[in-house]
Amino acid sequence: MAKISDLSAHPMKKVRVSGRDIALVHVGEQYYAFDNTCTHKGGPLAKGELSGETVTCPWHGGMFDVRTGDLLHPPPVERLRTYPVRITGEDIEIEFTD
Amino acid sequence: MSKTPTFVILGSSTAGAFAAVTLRKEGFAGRVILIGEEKEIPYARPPLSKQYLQRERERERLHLWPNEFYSERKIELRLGARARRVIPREKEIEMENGERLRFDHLLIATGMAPRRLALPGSDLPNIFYLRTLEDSDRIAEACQPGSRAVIIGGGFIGMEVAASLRQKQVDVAVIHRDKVALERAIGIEAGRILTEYHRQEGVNFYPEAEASEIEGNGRAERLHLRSGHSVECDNVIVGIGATPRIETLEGSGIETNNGILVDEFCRTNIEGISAAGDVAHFRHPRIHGRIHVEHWDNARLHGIAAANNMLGRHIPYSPVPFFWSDQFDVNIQYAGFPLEWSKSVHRGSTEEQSFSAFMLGGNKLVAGVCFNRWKDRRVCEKLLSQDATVDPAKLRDEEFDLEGFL
Ligand SMILES: Cc1cc2nc3c(=O)[nH]c(=O)nc-3n(C[C@H](O)[C@H](O)[C@H](O)COP(=O)(O)OP(=O)(O)OC[C@H]3O[C@@H](n4cnc5c(N)ncnc54)[C@H](O)[C@@H]3O)c2cc1C
Repeated sequence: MAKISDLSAHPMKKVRVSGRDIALVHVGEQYYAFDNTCTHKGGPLAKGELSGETVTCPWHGGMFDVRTGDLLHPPPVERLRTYPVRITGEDIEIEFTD
Repeated sequence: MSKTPTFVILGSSTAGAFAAVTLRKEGFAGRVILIGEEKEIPYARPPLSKQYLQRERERERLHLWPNEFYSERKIELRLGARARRVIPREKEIEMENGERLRFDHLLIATGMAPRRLALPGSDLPNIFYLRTLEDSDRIAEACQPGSRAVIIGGGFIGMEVAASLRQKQVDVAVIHRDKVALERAIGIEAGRILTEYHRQEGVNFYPEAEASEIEGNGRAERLHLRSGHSVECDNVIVGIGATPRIETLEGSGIETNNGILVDEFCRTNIEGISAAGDVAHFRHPRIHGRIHVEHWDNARLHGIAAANNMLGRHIPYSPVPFFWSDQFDVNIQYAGFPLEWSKSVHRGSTEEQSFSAFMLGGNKLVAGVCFNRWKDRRVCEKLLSQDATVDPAKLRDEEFDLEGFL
């Protein structure tokens, strides 16, 4: 999927997994994965701002909690889909349930 | 209060659902019952006039949480169930089917209903209102490409529906009372610019106009204006404002004045009864008197605040009101108070659809309307939450980076 070193220079990165754009972020000791596409108008979240556990969409400023996908500021009203992340050695693995 | 208290929430939309979820998140162990007359699990309304009306968003995506989320948290959903009356003296709600529900604390989050037209012909079948998912489905079904829709009202609902239908190749005319659409919500200048975008996309406007009659043979075919003009149509959509749903409170002793009166802790005048969202008029620590906000994020945050206060946290609710709208390629974001302002300054370019208008009272910001400039909105929120003074020249000067205020 991705390597831990991929997130060392910039804590947020878009990866393409099974035809999906996923944003990977590194916050403190933790890694989180969520849809890269903002639920409002599809803005690319990994190009936005990361502050603590909050990601802000570069297009219209929608905000989400990267841990849960909870909405923190509209214009999006729909939650963000998040994915469990597993670290195996140097590898970051994302689990899809479907 | 009994040993395992029962908290009942009346109204299963944004304010009610966020309150229920917050009660559990904050560790409330009693019963949580969420009552709503709509059958759908709680969903967000904003897409109903936008992506959902354009048939570009699936129904499930509107749900605030999936169905199992509520059962996992033991939030009891009573959907398709309408309350008839609230009886504070007995701490009970009487349901339409005669059932009585006892509560230890009640949160009223019944929102608003569209104001109805009262004209000759108002009862014709192809006249639509927009509040619920079903309303949006009906409008999308009726307004096929190439058909003609007349929209009565130049507020947010009217303008968003106009933009959505136009993008579906529907012929659209908007009839409204003021000089320009959205004049009351965002000011005459911003309203004028937005109207111009709509015109460029082919929407027709009848400003300073009032409908007098809707005529047709079994269905609305023609709208007559007081001016004597008439407009031919296949469908009529009405967006002339909304009224608070307080019909269950008659005779209850709960204070209302075109909405339920609450303090900054979401409490009504009656112990153990709170209100939140569109239906509530709340005391704001920053403002003399009460304010009333009919926007989505207020419903969300007010619901969360009400839940915390029901748990005895005593946290005053003092938001910087915020709303947004999407029409064609324009994203409008507004942050600020519904107060008097004495001057306005502008930043950016209207031709490039990227500008902000800041309203000031003295040397303080009162509100900001931002077209395709959410970062300016973020600055407004910051300045407003700090009640900071600003130099209008800096707001106007594109060379000055407003993010410096953050
Ligand atoms: C089409 C549309 C588009 C919108 N777009 C935007 C936008 O872009 N930006 C924005 O900021 N805001 C927008 N809004 C406003 C926003 O949706 C509302 O502010 C928000 O829905 C208010 O939430 P609420 O929970 O307070 O009330 P409501 O959403 O009105 O919900 C109240 C619920 O209570 C139920 N109820 C009422 N009485 C009873 C009873 N006696 N028994 C049982 N149930 C009852 C109702 O059926 C309803 O489900 C839009 C609204 C609409 C209709």
